[in-house]
Amino acid sequence: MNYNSEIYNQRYKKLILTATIPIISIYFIFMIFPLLQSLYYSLFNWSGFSKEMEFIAANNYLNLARDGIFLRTLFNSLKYVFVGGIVIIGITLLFTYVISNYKSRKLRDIVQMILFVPNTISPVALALLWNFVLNTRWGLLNETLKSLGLDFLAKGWMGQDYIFYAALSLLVWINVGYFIVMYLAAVDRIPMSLYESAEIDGATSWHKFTKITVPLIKDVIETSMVLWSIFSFKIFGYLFVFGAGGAGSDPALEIRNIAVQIYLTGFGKRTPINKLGYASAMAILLLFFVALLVYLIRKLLFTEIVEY
Amino acid sequence: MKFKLSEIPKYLINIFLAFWLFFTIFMFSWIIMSSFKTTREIYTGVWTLPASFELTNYINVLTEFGLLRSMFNSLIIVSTSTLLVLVLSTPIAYVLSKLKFRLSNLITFSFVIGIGIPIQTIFIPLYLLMNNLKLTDSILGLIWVYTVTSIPFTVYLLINFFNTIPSSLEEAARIDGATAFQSFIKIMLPLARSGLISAGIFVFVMLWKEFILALVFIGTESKQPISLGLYSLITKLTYTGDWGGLFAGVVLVIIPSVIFYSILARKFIAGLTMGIGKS
Repeated sequence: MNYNSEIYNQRYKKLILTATIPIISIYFIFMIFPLLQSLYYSLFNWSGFSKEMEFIAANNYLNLARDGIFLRTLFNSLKYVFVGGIVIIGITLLFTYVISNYKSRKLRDIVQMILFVPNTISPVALALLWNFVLNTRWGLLNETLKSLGLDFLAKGWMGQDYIFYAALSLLVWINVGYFIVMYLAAVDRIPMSLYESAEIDGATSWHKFTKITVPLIKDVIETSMVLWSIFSFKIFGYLFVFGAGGAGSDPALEIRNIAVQIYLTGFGKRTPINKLGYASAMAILLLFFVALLVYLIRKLLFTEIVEY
Repeated sequence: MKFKLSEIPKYLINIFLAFWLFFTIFMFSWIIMSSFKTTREIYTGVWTLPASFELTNYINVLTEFGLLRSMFNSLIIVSTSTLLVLVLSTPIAYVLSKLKFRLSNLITFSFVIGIGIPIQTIFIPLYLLMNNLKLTDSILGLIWVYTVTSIPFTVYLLINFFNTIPSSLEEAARIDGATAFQSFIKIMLPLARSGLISAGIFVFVMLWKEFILALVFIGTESKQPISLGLYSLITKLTYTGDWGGLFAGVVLVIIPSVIFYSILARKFIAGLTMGIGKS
């Protein structure tokens, strides 16, 4: 079919216009336009919802570069991306290896289902649950260790030495379940014949995994890296609730990321003045880092999709 | 230098996986058990069974602290947004997948960009915009915010899905003289039903657990959806130290999601993996 023909255009014009114009307008008004506004606000000193806005050019950005708390949250965000990413994708790959070898389809489905469950639950509930597990005084982990006579392993998990890893473990628990579903769906695409011929050549299951499975699901692994970069920068609820230690206090600095810091600066109850200009500058930097990371991953890793 | 991974024994990974699954299941059983305990019992031992299975904690958080109200709000907000986002996204996804036109690639790309925009990057201007429209601290406003922010991802999901439906049937209908609109309604929509349901379930679950937008846009307690309702509950009960009540609150938030998910798991996973499956 010649897509550019005059007749074609006439015939579908109405449908194309009615299907696209309203939703694209909505999308631009409520998402793209606010994005540009954030960029605009980031150039102002603007305290709260008053009309007084003082143009200060790049000063918000320059101040951010010297703001120790902001730099700390940036560093934490990067730690979530890289440390979290390596652990999550590593574990997901190992689980893909054993689960894809299960003979029973039913077992495989059940395992996948249980792994995925945390993803269906409110982050507020999960963060609170994790507090119950790691609570120093009566939490499940410490109590269990004590009853096993391993008192020396019981630590103050919510204290500043361990809290980052406590939060990270929550994120790992949740996200492995998310990516395993993607990986297993990708394994399903691989034709059985490839494995059968490898078996004839005497390949072990580890060989088959590293030489056939991994190369053939490479596109999905790369997609999962891109997704994780986007997800992890945005993480909010888990950290906001987990690190707050309850009653309305701000989340601990040790686990705070940029996403949480933007909220605290723009809307936080503890900051009496809403520093909207400053928060907008952080918001633009957040987008910049997400975009940069996605770009780098695509540039460095993405190759042609393997044909088979 | 070539890096060679040595073989990791399968049984070690299986033990780790078994532990992981056990931990997940155990965790949920543990909070259910703890939710029946009094706060004093929680302090005295995590492994002990509750003295009696009284529903005091549950009745407290549901009535006195309004968690029931939050659940009802979530049901209204999330189902309306899910329907709205499907109604808005399906036609454009169909058009972008099946009728290539001059700008189609650019439009698709703009939606992909939208998936990557962190909500924190736009929520200050979006809040001010909604405030001008008198739609902050409003259930209607939250429905709208949920709908617009779900659009990019849903459109992308549905484009992938329409790509998997062969065009031949529809082309045949067009040769028979059906207009594009007729073939969309009569041929494509019925074929797309299962995909739309999967996408809908996926959007529903994602919005059900949404937290940050609710935190920003809703102030009044009687308008809170479930995540925010639980958050207020935490703020109140940690002051009074009522851990038993908090356990009951968590269980009440978790159970509906888990039941909903276990009934629809297959559909749900189909939604998540749209576009990865066999082509």
